[in-house]
Amino acid sequence: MNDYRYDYETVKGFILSAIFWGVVGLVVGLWISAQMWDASLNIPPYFSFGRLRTFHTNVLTYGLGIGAEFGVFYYLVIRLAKRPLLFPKLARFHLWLFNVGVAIAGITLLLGWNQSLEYAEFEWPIDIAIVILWVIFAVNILGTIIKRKEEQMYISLWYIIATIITVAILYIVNNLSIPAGFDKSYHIFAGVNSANVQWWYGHNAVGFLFTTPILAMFYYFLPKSTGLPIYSHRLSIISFWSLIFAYLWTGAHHLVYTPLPDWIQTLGIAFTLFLIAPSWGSVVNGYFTVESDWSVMKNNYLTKFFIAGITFYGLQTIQGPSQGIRVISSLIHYTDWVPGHVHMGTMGWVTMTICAAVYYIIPHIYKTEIYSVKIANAHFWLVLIGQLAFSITMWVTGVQQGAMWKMTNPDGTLKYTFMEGLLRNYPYWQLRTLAGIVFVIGMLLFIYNVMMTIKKGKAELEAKLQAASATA
Amino acid sequence: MYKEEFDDLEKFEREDTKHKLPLGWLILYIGLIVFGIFYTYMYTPAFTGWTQNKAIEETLNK
Repeated sequence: MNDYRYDYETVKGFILSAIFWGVVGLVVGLWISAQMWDASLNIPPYFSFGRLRTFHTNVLTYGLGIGAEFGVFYYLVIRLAKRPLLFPKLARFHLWLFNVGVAIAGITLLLGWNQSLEYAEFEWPIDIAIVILWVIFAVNILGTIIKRKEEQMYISLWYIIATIITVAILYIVNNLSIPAGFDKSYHIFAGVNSANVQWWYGHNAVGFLFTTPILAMFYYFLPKSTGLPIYSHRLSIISFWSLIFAYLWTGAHHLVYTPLPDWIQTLGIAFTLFLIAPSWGSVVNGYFTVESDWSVMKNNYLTKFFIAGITFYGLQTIQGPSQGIRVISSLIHYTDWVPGHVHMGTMGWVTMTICAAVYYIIPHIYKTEIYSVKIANAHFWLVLIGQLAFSITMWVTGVQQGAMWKMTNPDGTLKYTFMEGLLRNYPYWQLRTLAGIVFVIGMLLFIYNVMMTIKKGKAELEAKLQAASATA
Repeated sequence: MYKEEFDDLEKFEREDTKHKLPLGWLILYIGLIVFGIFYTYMYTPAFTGWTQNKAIEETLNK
């Protein structure tokens, strides 16, 4: 009868798994932030900072970030294509493989299986599993888009397609390596080439795991939850194509003042600065959309998440390109400014937008209302305060660190030893842990709210079914 | 179970601004392209002779 009954079980499965991995990753994040100012919290060999840090970044990137993206994409694509998934059983298998994969991948990192490429630390057997997982996902999503019943392709679909194709290319190229046993391999590129390929990957992983997929969510859920149509599609499409075109050239800005050839660095910086334009295209589009009726900020709790999220995206895309410039890079590169920068994006833009998408999807699937708007508001403010406190403390300490490393006495010797710089970081690192605790409390409220909404939805559904069978 | 509501993509875009690009943004866009070309020219050794090593030496000699 109803051809369009969608498979929401997989969507729910991914969202709940993402939340689970999110908690694991956040708790480990708190732990490593405390390890920075209390070395006794290191438990070698498995739970020392070196291993937990990679665990933290990978579990949050792949477990929380990608997990939520898988779920939200499965939800978005069926709606925007106006047809069920091409292979619903494959999607279910994808869900299981994903969870087993994140668990095994996390364990291998704790065991110390690690190639020294940032955000690409997994060893080759895990890499192969990830490629298989991604192909399953790509076949299902791209197939559904090709066989769509809605002719028009909404901007979110473009961002989804870009995510799938680009991540596949990036991941495969940067993880090409020669195995030396089951748990060890060596990058196929060497020296400067290895660094260049690694940062081509490293920066674009941020772009195509934390920017394009989140924009896909933003462009769909903002108009859906506020009822306000997007300001201009022309602007979103032009921003899309220029973002995609420029992004892939920017990785070299991570290698300013290194042996990488000067012209590659320069080209990387030029493209990096250009990225402000397409990023702000989406920011402007978001603001102008809400500008047609600012009352939604007050009346609709989700708007806050989206507008705060896109604001942090806007700030991030000013901060990022300016960091690429040689003079700023020479001051703040390798300092704690960098985690401050990264976390404004991941905690401010990515997590807020994902949370808002989940807040929208879960009640929608169960045909109910959110359990508590009050808790959602409390969640919003805690996350906002936690994130700002985290970012600002790291910016301050980063500039201080950079300045202390650079200061010289009149005879040219360094004014401060490395240890002196380190000691001055302690108060800021302790503040960061506090900020992290505030953020995590906010996220726990989010999880509680989602769980209670599911419970409420199930109870309501039960009541409806009983009423229906009583009348029959 | 329940009827699925469809998304009406027509409703996703504002009619009055369908083909508008904000002027300020357009200036930023074109400005950054022009600046990018200028910057690439200025800081590429083959064009102007600028190199990272020379720049560092100059700073050290100051």
